[in-house]
Amino acid sequence: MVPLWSLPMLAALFVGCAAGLAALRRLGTNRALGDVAVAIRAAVISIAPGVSLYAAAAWSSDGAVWRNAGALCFVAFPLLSAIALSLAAQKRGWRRGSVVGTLLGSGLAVAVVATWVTLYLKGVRGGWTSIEMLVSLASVCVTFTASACLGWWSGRTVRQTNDR
Amino acid sequence: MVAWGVSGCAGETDGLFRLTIVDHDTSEVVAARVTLTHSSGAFVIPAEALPVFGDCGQIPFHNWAPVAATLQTYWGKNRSVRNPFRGSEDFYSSGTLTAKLRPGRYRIQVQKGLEYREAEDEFVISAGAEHRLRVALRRWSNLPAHGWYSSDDHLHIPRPHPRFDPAIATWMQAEDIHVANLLQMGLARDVHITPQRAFGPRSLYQAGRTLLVGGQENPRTHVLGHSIILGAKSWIDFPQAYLVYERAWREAQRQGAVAGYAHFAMAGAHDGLAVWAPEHLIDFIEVLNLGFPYYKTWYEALDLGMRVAPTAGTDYPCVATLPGRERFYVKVDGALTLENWLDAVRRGRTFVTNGPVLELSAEEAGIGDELVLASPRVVKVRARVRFDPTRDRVERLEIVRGGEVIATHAASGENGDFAIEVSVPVSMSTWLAARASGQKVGERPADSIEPLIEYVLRLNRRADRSLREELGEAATPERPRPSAAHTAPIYLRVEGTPPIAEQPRAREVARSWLELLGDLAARLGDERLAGLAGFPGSGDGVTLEDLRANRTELLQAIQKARAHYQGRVEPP
Repeated sequence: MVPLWSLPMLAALFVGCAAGLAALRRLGTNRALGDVAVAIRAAVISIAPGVSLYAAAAWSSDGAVWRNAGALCFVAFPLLSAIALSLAAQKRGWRRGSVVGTLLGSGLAVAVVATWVTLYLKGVRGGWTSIEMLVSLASVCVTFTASACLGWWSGRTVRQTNDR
Repeated sequence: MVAWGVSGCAGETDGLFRLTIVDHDTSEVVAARVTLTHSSGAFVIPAEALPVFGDCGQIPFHNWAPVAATLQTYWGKNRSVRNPFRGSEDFYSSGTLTAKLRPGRYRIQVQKGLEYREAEDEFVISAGAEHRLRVALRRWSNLPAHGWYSSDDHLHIPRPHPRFDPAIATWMQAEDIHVANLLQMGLARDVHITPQRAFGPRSLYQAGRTLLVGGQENPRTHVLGHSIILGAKSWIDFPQAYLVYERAWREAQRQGAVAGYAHFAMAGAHDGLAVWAPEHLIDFIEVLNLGFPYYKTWYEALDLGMRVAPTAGTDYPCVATLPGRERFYVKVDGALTLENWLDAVRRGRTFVTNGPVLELSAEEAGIGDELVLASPRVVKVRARVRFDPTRDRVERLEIVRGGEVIATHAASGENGDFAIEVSVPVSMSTWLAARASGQKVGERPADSIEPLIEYVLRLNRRADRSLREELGEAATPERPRPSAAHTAPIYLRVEGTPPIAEQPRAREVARSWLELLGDLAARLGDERLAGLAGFPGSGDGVTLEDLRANRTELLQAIQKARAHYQGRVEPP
């Protein structure tokens, strides 16, 4: 079983990596914050319905369909973040980051969160306290956002965009 | 020793092997377990072998994404199964099989549960030639013909999708298991392992006289033991009150299920039994499991006047064993249906065995019955054991009354069948049972049970200090594997005499259970609670918060039980 604080630690690790890469790429503040804002929206769009579906599963007599649908929302995050970041870059006239990197980075975050939530040994009806829900959901949101940015900024053209 | 698989695209120099396994008496094609050994010593696993599954703690992704269970089960299937009893790699066959084999000499051994003799043969495969082999399995016992059906109450075989049902049913037929209880395993706070798609009647899959039924090993903690519920209509779980087993058992009773304890009701389960025994929520205790029998806790429960049936199960694949190695037979009235089977377990019409077959009667009363005597008198008791001498060497047949052996027949060259007939003076209400003991024949020495002993001793229960001595032979390293069987009791009620629960032996047990409860309450104290939560190797996810959250209700239950036993120790 893993402790609760390990998830915020993982989130912090992803944030640190993303911030480090942004510094390495010498991204401008506007560009960085713009991408972060898009990634946050993608994370919320993935997490909010996912959590709602799991909540519905807890009240359903046979929650398998709801749980599968909830899981699908989370698993869809890499695709969602790649699409959102690509569309935002197109709209703002910025050079695109790495779509493959975003898929891989976000996919890694989804795998890490799935592993954590499994090893935390609590289920849908497992008595989540308000603090636990707050800490874990915030951490998942931060992890997803940071991982998407990390992947997006891994493209070599991002720095040229900043220089323009 | 190595095992090699044989696919349909083997080389042109291979020979073709066609196997048919039949029941000698009926000539019907039957499923069985096969050991096929090439003269080089390699075990052969044909491509047509039945798939087998198991789940003893795969990462439970399916807890969050149920579809993962089907994928994990599908990917986790295997065609070979380790036979720890003779160190071979076996496979299961539905009864007919075609395989391309390398030329050479082969040895085939075919087994089907306990009631068929093992068949053995040798054959030669020549390049480009076909070899047909018909193996006829002979029964030495036919208990189903008398309404006795075999069950394993403890199989961790996942069944998340109906597509797995036919293969699992054939697998169970190959082990001659009639009622296979496939248990989903719970951890504290809603985490489930070995997923079952449904439970009890809704989960029922019947193929001939083979039933697959979803059950649960939940609640399941190191603190209060591993509980089994069979036949409940739904998964029963109270994550917020996980340590308050009473809730789960009451719900099981409400749903028409039977509830009991796994693993001999040993260690933490002994405490749990002491806490809730007065509530009459327990129907059975698994007394034959992990390769050996242990009757101490069960006898105590019987001596306290509880009517608890003995059951047996393997915990496959969490333990190195084969499904049905330890099993129990249930005398079912009428057709084999889940309802009739549950009713028979509830009535205690069972015997447990890993080989020998037992019979017991006290005049007209059979196993699980109550014989009412108008006054103290002599009762004629008959016990009989039958076994396959090629697999079991039964050394003793005993009749037990109230936990004490009152008659013994030591084997002296009998060949697979002997009996005791005694006249037992019965002066007050009691229980009688028969048990057999000996050694398995032609098997490797048993694995050490030291890890189990160390696990139990780490719990620091005062009652376990002499566990190693209590386990006796089972704790001896490199010992021969035991052959064991035990019937459920026949209850003798003598009118006008005190019931079992009010007799001196019950007072003794009540006194010792009061000590258990005192010890448990102490371990739930503030100073020791953290140690209990951090118990290493428990794998049940019980945290300090869980213990704190459940402690008040648990201490109330302990208090109630203490008052009950105090009343037994000091009758008004």
